[in-house]
Amino acid sequence: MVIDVKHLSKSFDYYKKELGLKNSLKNLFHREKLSKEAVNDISFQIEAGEMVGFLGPNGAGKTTTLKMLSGILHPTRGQAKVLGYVPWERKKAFKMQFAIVMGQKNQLWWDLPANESLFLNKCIYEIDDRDYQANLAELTELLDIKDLLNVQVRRLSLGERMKMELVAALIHKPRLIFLDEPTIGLDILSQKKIREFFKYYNQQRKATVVLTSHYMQDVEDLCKRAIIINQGHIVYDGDLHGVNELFAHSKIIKLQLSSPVSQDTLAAFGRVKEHSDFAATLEVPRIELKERSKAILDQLPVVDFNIEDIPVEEGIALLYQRREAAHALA
Amino acid sequence: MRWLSKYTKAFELGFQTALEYRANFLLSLISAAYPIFIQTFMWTAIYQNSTESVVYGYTYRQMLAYTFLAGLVARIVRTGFEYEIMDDIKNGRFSTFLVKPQGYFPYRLCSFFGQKLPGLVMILGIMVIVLLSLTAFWGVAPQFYQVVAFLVTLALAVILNFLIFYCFSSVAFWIIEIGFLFEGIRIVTILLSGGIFPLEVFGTRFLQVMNLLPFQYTVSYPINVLNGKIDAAGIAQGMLVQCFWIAACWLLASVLWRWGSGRYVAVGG
Repeated sequence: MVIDVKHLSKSFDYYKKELGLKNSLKNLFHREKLSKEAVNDISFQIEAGEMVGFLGPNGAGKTTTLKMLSGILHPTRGQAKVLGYVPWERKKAFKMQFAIVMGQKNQLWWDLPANESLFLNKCIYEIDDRDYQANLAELTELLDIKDLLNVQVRRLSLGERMKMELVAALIHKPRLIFLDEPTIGLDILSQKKIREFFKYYNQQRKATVVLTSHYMQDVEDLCKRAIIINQGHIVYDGDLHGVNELFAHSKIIKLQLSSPVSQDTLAAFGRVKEHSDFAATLEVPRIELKERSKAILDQLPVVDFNIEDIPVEEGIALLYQRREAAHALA
Repeated sequence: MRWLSKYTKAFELGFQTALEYRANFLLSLISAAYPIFIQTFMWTAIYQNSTESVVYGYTYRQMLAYTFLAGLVARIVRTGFEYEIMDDIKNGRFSTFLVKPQGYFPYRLCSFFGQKLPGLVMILGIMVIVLLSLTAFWGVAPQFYQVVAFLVTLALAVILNFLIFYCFSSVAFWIIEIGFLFEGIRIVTILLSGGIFPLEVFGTRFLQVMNLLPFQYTVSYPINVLNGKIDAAGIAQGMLVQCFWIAACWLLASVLWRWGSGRYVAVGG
């Protein structure tokens, strides 16, 4: 087992500030201290070689969890073992075996070519020359940035810089990789390239990868297993496509129409999710799928007809809502 | 020896970064010359209107020599990494150091000396020119042992000032935005270290207080070693005091940093 987390919690102190100048002045003298549970009693395990997606809305506690697992933050309560070490003890042997890539933080020296920073990492991780050269050649080949090694980092595009960051993070062949929003702000092509890279890397090196992302596509492409976290709690842990089974009582029907049909007419066949002159998307109960489909084909001017599952994204959004609703009731 | 390479490489990268900004460095030298000119005019006016030829224990020539040297020495010991540290802590970049098998302090130290080196060489060059011109025009030549002692005290002064500012920079763990605080601290310490006027200007009571603080050992003391205000016994004693302050600041820095990094909240995504 690579990661074993038991009842991990982290709370942050912060100050309340109400709107307006008067409150700003009041805040100068007296601040009401509040505490926020960023991560609340989570437990999970990750096996070697797994690729796990950490999903959740902004502020759900994903990044805080990764920071605790990489030893950047101390937890308020609970235990964790990563690669057999307690991460926040920050042992050297532990640090030599993992990497964390934070899409919004860079480790490369801004004013110097990336190969200088990479060489610094070679020294920091005590990699010998031959390993370093071989690994550098492989990574830069895979990410297609061989020609950019001698360009100052500040002259690279965002996508190129992110790829260099990945090379810097992986140059010591970590067994465990934490990726925190690795594709944030990148265009679709770069995102795709980076996803392919991690897929290959995970297969080749058998490295364990834990990924957080806002982009559903990242997680759908890479991870079989998803841990979904909301307001500091784990709301789902399992097969990513299993999320839909929680919502399996509904199906989606997509229609192309030859002539416009009013929304009211469509509503007779199911809940209208989208509607334009010549297209419509309906949600229907699974048990009535057959009858409704038949009725639609008989009564509407249908050109094309498709039955689909609820998209994973929507499933997850529903999960969040369910959790929040439960919270509101409690 | 492989472990050492991570620090020599950090030194080298600091050096390269400094070379990357040559124009910036030249401009900073020019800006350093500006206050020296102002003070030259000021002291000239003071000495011309004074009935005595010795003011605060300095002749006119000694005062100008002090002003020149203080400008240069203050420039040599000057730090600047405190803003980088503040940024690292404020923006959460400090995290990328915490996860690496490498100490933040030795890394900062090596990178600082690397960034310092090109400027140091250049300022020492200027200093040689200043000293040679002083010798040529005014006939005041420092002894050989004074020059050697000066270089040693200067090296200690750079280390001491690094540590003083390393202590100050830990404030960033408690207060988020402290750019102005650093600027204030820099101005006050330059004044207290004798980087603008000789400390005698402020009077004996002030000097007594200053003797209990480390600041004068960064600028005033090395200059006094060079200009012969301190005898050989005093030089040795001063170096010991410098070493004492280096040890004290190092201890304080490690306490502050251990305490502060426990508070670190690693902001941002």
